[in-house]
Amino acid sequence: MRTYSVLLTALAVVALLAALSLVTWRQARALEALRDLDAVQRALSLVEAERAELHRRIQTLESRGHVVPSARERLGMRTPSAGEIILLEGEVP
Amino acid sequence: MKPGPRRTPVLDRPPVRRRSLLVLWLLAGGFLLFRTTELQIVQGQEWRALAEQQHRARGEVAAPRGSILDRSGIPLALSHEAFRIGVAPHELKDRDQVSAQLMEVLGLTSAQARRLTHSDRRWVQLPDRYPPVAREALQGTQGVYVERELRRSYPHSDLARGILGAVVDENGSGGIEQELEPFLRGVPGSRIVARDSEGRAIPGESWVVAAPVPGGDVVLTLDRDLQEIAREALENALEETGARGGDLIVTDPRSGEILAMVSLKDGSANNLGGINTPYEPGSTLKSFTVASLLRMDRVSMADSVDTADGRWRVAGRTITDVSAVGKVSLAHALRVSSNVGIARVAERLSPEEQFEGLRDFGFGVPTGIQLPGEASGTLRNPRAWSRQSPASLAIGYEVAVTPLQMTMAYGALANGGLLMEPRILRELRSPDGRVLERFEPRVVRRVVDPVVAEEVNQALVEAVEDGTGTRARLASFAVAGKSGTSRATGPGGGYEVGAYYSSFVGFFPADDPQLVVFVKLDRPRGVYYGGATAAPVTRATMEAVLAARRPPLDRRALAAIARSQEEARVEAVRQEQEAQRVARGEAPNVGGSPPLVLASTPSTARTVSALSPERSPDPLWEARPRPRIHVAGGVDAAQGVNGGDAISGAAREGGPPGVQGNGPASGSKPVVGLPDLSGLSPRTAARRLHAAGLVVEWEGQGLVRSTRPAPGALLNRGDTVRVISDGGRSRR
Repeated sequence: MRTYSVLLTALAVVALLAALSLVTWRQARALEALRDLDAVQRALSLVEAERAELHRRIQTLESRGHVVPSARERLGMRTPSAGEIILLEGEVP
Repeated sequence: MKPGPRRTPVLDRPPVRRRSLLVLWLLAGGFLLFRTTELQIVQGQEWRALAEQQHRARGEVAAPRGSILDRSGIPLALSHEAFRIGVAPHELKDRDQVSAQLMEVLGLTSAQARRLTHSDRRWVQLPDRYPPVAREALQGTQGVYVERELRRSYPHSDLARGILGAVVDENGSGGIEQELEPFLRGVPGSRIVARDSEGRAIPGESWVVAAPVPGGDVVLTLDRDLQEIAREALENALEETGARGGDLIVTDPRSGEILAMVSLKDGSANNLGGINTPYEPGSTLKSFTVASLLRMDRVSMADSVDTADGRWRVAGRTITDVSAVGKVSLAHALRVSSNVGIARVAERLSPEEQFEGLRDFGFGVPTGIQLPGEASGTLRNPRAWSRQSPASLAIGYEVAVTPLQMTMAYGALANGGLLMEPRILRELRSPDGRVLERFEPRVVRRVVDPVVAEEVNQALVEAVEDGTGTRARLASFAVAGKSGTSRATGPGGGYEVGAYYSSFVGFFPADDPQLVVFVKLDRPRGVYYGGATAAPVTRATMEAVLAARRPPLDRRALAAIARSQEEARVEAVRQEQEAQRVARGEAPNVGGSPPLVLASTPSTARTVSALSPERSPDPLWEARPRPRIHVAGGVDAAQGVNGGDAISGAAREGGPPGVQGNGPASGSKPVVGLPDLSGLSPRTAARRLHAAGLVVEWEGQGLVRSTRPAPGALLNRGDTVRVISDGGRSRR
């Protein structure tokens, strides 16, 4: 009878420890997953910021303020006078 | 071993002790149950809140502010993620290593980095904001803290600063940022972050309890390319003229859309003077005085007005023209911007009618543009007028208008008489791109009927072709416009000595206007006439717009106009060659030769026999003196008048080389055969004569009846042709 009580108590302790371990393990896994998620979110925001920056640079490089001076300095071009502009007939239906 | 005293088993103990123990346990259990109930149920909410406060922090999730886009969707203002970086020096383990890391990641100098890491202060905050790359590199470094925030950026710097405004302390300040603050701002969200026992945030333990709602996007009517063109043109003008500031506005007269608006003053683009700084317009207002007279049938463009010797005394004040032009038609008076001529004719309006005419064009009241801080200008009620006021107002004094009001008023002349409400907003869009509201063109009122608008426009075309605005002329398209020069006021309100506002408003193509361009220069140095300083800026702007990659123009309509003009030009050249052939004594183009076609379009084409000097004389032509001498690319210096724009810029400044001549026989100049223009509209006739290098003088209004000299006469380039019209109102 006494042996049975001791066994029962030991089993209960083991079960308790197992349950606690399980909870701890799950919690640790969850934290790990959350850290991974956090890292992915940071990477996403990084890529989005890079995209926005590249978009901004494209806008700047396409802008008149950049193209016109470059065309003048590098290629010796100039803005044509109105008399030098020919509107193509193809644009007329 | 001696046995100890035997212990009494519990069950063998006396019942009193057992019962006492049981009661004690029951009491203890009851107390625990009571306390548990009290803590969990009665005080549960309070304790839970306290626990949350200790272990969880509630934070705000900033809502991204909406973007501001140009008409093509190019961002002019947008929000992006940036990071602030702070250092807690006492938390750093290896200060030198962190110092090196900060130098590498943030680009700090050695001294800057050491000041951060070796400081005695508990907390040092870097003033700049850094990109996410910096956050990634510094993440996990003990003692270095990174804080996220949303920053407002303007990819094109201050290109449209006055229109866009700015964001100060997360609130819109000025321009669209202020006007549409509630729409752009969005709604911030909130989140809960779990903290450990030391108060540090647990990675990933963050819950967004209310997602932020991003602000909506605003699409403007502005065109980025045009805005850049306008900015460049104005900056160049300020540099060339030494002006203190200026305004340049480009609008579409058909819709009232503002395509570009730049205001510069003392090197800054922050203040949008185009809408908030009224000025006395001077001669640019004369067009509306004339339009008011025409709409009330008090005068026709052909009516003559005597400007006498260029001086006229009225109500104790003398109004002067720089050069006297004598008795001229109203159209001519407007073309040469005669102060005396316009002021005298304006007497035919009562003060109330004059006030009503100007008010109908939108002067003295805000235009209603969706921007904060618009000024209404000043147009006093006739009851407050002095005896001099009618004459002053007729020529653009005693009235203050904003550049935008003036631009919209000219837009009304350009589009056939409809005053449009200026539009800067095109669409409001939700963050996912759905159009929430689209702003359609809105007509404020019809100011004048199309015939009146056409008559005024014709005079404005002539002002550019032969009047005070020749330096706005384009080689490819007819431009209508008017220059203005007025005295500038100082801080005390009085006129400043030697300080002027020079302005020019033009629209093109004159046949079917697509753009109105307003230019005003504030206190140009040296030559200050609007025709000499502001008109070239208008031309430069128009030329750059035509050459732009994606101009907001109807290219098909332009191509059609260009084609018809080219046909007219080719025809004029043909006629000139034919005339030269005749002059050389070669056989006239009769008999077997095909007839000479003098008109270019089927509707006006007519054939005549070959020309010869002997067959064409007109008694009047023969009797009158040879054509007058003209200078400066066809502008008659003797015709320049007005007190501000008296002489065209080209004429005053030398301009193109002048042509001297005394009729067909003089010099070696090419000879031009005068075509038959009868039945043509004044505009078409003028264009053909200008294409042939001739100067035009008008007599009457409406369709062309005849010319002096008669068709077929041989003239030199630069000679004057008097065109006589029916006297009725012209038709397109």
